[in-house]
Amino acid sequence: MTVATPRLRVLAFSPLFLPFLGGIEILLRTLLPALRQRGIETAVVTESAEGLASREEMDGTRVYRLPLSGAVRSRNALEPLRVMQQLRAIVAEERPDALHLHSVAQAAAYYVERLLSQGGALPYLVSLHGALETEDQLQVVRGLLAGARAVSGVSQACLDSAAPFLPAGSARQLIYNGIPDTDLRCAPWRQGETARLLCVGRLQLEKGYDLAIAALAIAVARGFDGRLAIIGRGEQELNFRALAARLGIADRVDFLGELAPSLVAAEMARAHALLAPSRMREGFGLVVAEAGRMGVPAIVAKTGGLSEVVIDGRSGLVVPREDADALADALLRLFRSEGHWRDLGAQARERVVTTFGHDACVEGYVRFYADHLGEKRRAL
Amino acid sequence: MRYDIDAQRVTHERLNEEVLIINVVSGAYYSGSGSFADLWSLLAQGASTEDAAAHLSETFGESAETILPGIRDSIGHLLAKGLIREAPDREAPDGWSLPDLPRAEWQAPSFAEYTDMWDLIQLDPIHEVGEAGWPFAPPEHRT
Repeated sequence: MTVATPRLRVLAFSPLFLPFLGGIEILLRTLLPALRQRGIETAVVTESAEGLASREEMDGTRVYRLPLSGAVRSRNALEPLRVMQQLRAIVAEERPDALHLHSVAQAAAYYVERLLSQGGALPYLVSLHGALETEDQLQVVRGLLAGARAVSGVSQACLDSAAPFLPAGSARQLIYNGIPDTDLRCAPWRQGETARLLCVGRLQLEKGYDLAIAALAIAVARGFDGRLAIIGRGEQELNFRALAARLGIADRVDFLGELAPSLVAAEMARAHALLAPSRMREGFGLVVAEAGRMGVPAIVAKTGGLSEVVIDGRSGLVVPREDADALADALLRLFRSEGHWRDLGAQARERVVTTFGHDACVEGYVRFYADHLGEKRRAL
Repeated sequence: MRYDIDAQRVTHERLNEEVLIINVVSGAYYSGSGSFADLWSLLAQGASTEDAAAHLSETFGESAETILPGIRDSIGHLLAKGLIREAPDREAPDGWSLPDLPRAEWQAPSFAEYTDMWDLIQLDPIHEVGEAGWPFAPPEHRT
């Protein structure tokens, strides 16, 4: 395959990057190599983490890990200054044409703001991967959003949430996340069989897996036969395990821990439904779309971009946020008949294929750069 | 008038062209570079307003009359923010020391205030971590 000579060099900032596998990381894993093929070379600055190199190349992408939030947390004035010095050295080495913040509500925002305030004439773009909340109305976040050449959102909900922060008439672009195709397909489920439910993500309260456990307990009490697998780890794992035990369904809930991407995909294909009962901050719902691509229907909370990925009653079910009873009702509705379940799964796949294609996502970012980095437009 | 810094409330460092001052009581961060970093360094060494104007005039090749209003304004802001306090009894040091750096044209000293740094890092996906950093939970989350 021919790789285009870089015609645009971008220094991207992402709160986390590979080997972590959150929504942004999964997107960038497939997006950056595809952009490279189109002549857009991206290096990534991200948060340092225990056991990971401060600098390495991953899938052809140069990755710089700095203690962005750790330096602030230290309350030692020298630490953020050192990070700034490292960042300036990275900019001098990379000589980017533009900066691109993937998420503006991150510790890197402070450093980028400082970099730009010291005469760095670099243009920058912001991509919102999560819906901004009231508490995000911070000085640095507002300032960076106001000064960006353009802002993209991975869902309309993301863009709408940013509207109060953005100057009137500012450039905004919707770029849905793209899901690469897969040969995996949802395992069959037949009436009377145990339904396999799946949650994938960090075990934190925001993801609402406690609601999934509570909903399963309610549904089981009403005659539903299901098991719930939870992939991921996080600070709430012990609490979630305790909740399952307290509700008497510990034998129906499996905590699988962190799994390699291929194993996550395999578990997803084994599942009969994906649950995403998030409480907040879901910009898109990548795992919901990934499951949908396999024909696995999802039940999601009406929050952020989740209810754009799933059309209620057609490609899955949407329930009110923070409502375990509604989630239990939805479980019973989804599995009321084999035909209904199969139909929702087929529609879920259709929606992902037609609306959340990987190529369309790549094209969206190429257009984003071309439209808003005017001096590079012809080159792209 | 000379000034000093309340070490119980304020910590500060300079690295090359940038200075960072933290009010450890409020959690506010103050960042500045260029002429502000030089002004801060001089005040921290015990410079009066006039001392600072004279030395910065020489450093930047600009008349003291031209730069004095900006220096006074900046000192006023630093006093208002509680980052320095008046120290009439402080004695003048023997000399002044500033890092040997290329300097741009004089611009009035200014600094940025960040009152929500802690909130900002709490927005990160790796919050709820301990001093060791991600993925280690803080003690209250360990059992």
